[in-house]
Amino acid sequence: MPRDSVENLSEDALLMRYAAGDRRAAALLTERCLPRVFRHARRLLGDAAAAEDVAQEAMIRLWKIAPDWRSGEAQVGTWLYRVTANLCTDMLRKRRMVGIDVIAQMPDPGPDATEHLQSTARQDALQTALNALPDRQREAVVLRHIEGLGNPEIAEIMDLSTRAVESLTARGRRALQHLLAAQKEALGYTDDG
Amino acid sequence: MTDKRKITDQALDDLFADASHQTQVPKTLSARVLEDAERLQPVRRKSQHRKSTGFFEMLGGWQGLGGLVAAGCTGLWIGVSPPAAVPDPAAWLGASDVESAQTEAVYETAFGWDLEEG
Repeated sequence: MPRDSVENLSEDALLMRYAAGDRRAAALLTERCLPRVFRHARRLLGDAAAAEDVAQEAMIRLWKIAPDWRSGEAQVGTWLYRVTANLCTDMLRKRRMVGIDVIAQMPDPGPDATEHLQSTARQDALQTALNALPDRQREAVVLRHIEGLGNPEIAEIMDLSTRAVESLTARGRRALQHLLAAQKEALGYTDDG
Repeated sequence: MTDKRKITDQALDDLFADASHQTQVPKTLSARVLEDAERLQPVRRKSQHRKSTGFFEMLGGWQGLGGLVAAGCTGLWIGVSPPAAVPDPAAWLGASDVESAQTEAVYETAFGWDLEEG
């Protein structure tokens, strides 16, 4: 199959091709799915190193389920978000059990920290505020506002009703706005913003 | 009138927009994920298995290979040092040469050729 044709395949179809031995399918799936999985894990955990471990494990589970994947029953992206969230929940639970202060590990500056100080400071503040939200609220907010998913898909990922998702995201937004207000001036926001 | 106890919707949406673009996947992570994918790929794993064991299975596995080795050794032993009960293959070869020479002589004299002259 020509390369262009493979690139246009859905994630579902790519996973089937991976199971059939197509190595290009693995590369394309990694290219498409890994950024979302890593970003999601990082926002839920607030820790890039732990997010790497979770993202790798989530992808391992995808490779392992490939031979048994039932095409059309679930979206690969939805399935991955769910697996990632579950892995993050487990990791957060373990951290709480051993008493690690997650917020104390922040901020986690990215590679461009020196060039984009204010942008980085704002992102760190956002992450710190996200970390302060209850787990389910944080997950709903990240899926809705950072990953840009629709409420029905979030409902499927989180196994909730659409109305419950709307409620979670609305409460999460309000909480974030209040949490970030404390650093308004430090982050360069005026009273109008 | 703005609420000073919170940031605006627009400011929050801008933060979210930045967040959705900022996180880059470390290259080492991509490499690890691709290694996992290769290691766990089902058909590839099976085909590697087949490659290494295909010829072996064609021979009939351990039993087949054992039989083949036993037959080979027995053949070699009979050839080098035949037991008394088994006719000597070398003798068969010699007998065959004598018989062949006799047959040739009969054939030639049948045409009236003089063997001593030829």
